[in-house]
Amino acid sequence: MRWEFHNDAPIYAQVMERVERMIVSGALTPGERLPSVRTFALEAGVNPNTMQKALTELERGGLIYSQRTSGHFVTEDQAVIASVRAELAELHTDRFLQDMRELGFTSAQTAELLHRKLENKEEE
Amino acid sequence: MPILTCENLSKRYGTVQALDHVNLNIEPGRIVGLLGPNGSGKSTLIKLANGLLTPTEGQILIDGKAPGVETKAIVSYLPERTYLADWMSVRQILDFFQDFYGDFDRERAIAMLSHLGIAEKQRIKQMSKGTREKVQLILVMSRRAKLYLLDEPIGGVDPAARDYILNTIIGNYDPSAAVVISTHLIADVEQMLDEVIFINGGHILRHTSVDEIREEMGKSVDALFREEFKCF
Amino acid sequence: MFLKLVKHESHAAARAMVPLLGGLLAMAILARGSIWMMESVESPVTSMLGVFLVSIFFLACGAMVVTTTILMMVRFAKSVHGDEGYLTHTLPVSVSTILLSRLLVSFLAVLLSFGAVYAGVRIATLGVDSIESLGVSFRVIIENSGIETKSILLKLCCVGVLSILSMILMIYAAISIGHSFPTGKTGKSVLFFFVLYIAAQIITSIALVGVLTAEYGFDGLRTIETNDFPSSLFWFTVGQSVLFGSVYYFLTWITTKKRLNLA
Repeated sequence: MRWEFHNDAPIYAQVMERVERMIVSGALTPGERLPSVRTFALEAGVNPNTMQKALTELERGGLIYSQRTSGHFVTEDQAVIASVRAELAELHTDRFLQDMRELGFTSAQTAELLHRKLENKEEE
Repeated sequence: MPILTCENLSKRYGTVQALDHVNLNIEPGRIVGLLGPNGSGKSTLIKLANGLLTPTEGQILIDGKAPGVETKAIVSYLPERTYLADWMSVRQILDFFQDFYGDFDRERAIAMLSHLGIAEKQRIKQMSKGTREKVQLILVMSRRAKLYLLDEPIGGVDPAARDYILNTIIGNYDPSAAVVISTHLIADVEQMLDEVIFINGGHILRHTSVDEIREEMGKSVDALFREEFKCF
Repeated sequence: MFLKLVKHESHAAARAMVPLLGGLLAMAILARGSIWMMESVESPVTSMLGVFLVSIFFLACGAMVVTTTILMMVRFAKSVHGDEGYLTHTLPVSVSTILLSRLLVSFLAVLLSFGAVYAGVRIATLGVDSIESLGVSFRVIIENSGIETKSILLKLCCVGVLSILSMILMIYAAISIGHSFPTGKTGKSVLFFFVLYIAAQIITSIALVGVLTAEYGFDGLRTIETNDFPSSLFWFTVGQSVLFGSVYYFLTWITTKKRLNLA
């Protein structure tokens, strides 16, 4: 299944985010070997150059590491994974708050709505 | 060194200027979208690169050489139409490609064909239009060429066939070769392109990387294309 | 590469030629059978049937040559200037290699069709006394006339081969020029065939008169003896075929190379 991409960010950045989420959510476990660039590119339906660029960027951030002959692996450093998780959480919260502002909600209204939703969820 | 170079390249058909002083370089390892509406000069450019047409002015070079016997050995071309004689069987066509193209990888072609459930004894005339197009693409992508020129590879096929075709192109990616895909269906190919060339009225309007468009303009190539070609 | 092209083109031509040849030989056997029937059973029905089958056979002989020519035209138009041209012209071979391979295959097809007609006639008339004796008496006439049969036959073959090649190239040139236009390709091919044909006829006639006048003088033209003809006519025909053939080849080559205009 080809991955879906939205229009306002470079494809490689979206591939990076997608891989980050797979790691943070545990779909890819620490120390797990990633598919080869070609296979991964095919899975995503993107150009192998794009996949390579995304993996290189992730490697720079320390979330994955590569071994010259055997490919890319997910880091076993839980601290790195935790910080990426925190970054993603920040990112999504920011997006959510931005959307709420656009809908005309004040911070207090947003907080109240959020509380109510969370309470409902807990009751279920 | 670029695998494809156009210097001041022009092509006129009678009074119609199909290409007008085009300058262009395409580097190996890139998957390039040649994007433009119908009649913009896409096919003309591809045919010139294949030696199917001769320039009116300027020149086109493949790996530094004018189109000829040597360049045809390293260029793999998928025309818009089906060009296979319909009485031929798959095996005869494989023989044909093997006879003429030193870079044809028969094993790879057979593997891809059998993946689609196409037997070697099957004849072209027994196949649906979609299957013929897939067979043709398999033949073209089974060559270890330096330059792939794919003219409208996904025009008029259903979404499943489109995914198959795009995956075949990605799956055969070779960092030492360049792939040029001409199409007007940009949204379908955008995520697999490195670079795009916008062409209209025989002019190159834009030649940039997809990332650049998305990063600097904050929009997809498809959206940009729709904006720039709105008036046409 | 040339031989590979010949191999694949022969394969394509053979698909149509083999059934034609088979059909013709079957007709020949039928014709022979009906002749035998006419000879052995005296009845209006058998003789009518026999005459019918024999005439059909001779029609088939004519059709054989015509069909071969049409087949040759269609193959050339399709594989060099039609859809298949997209493949033909992206092969790593030169235009001249493509044209020469087509020329060789067409030539062999024409020879094959003539051969089939000859074989068909021999089969149909096998053991028919009247026709066999005709052949014998023809041979006797030639032997008694003092003409050197061998050299004449050799010359005839030479002229035949050259004229066939030149004729094929004329068809190729007409198709190539006709197909270099964006529209009305087939119609223009036919038109250019007649243009080339008529031009060739006019030039040949003028040249023939010129050559003969130069050789015999203007007054001598009326007093030429038939015996003098073969030698000068032979060289004239050879020269004419080679010259026209080269011109047709050049026209085909230049239009295919420079003005290729695939549908």
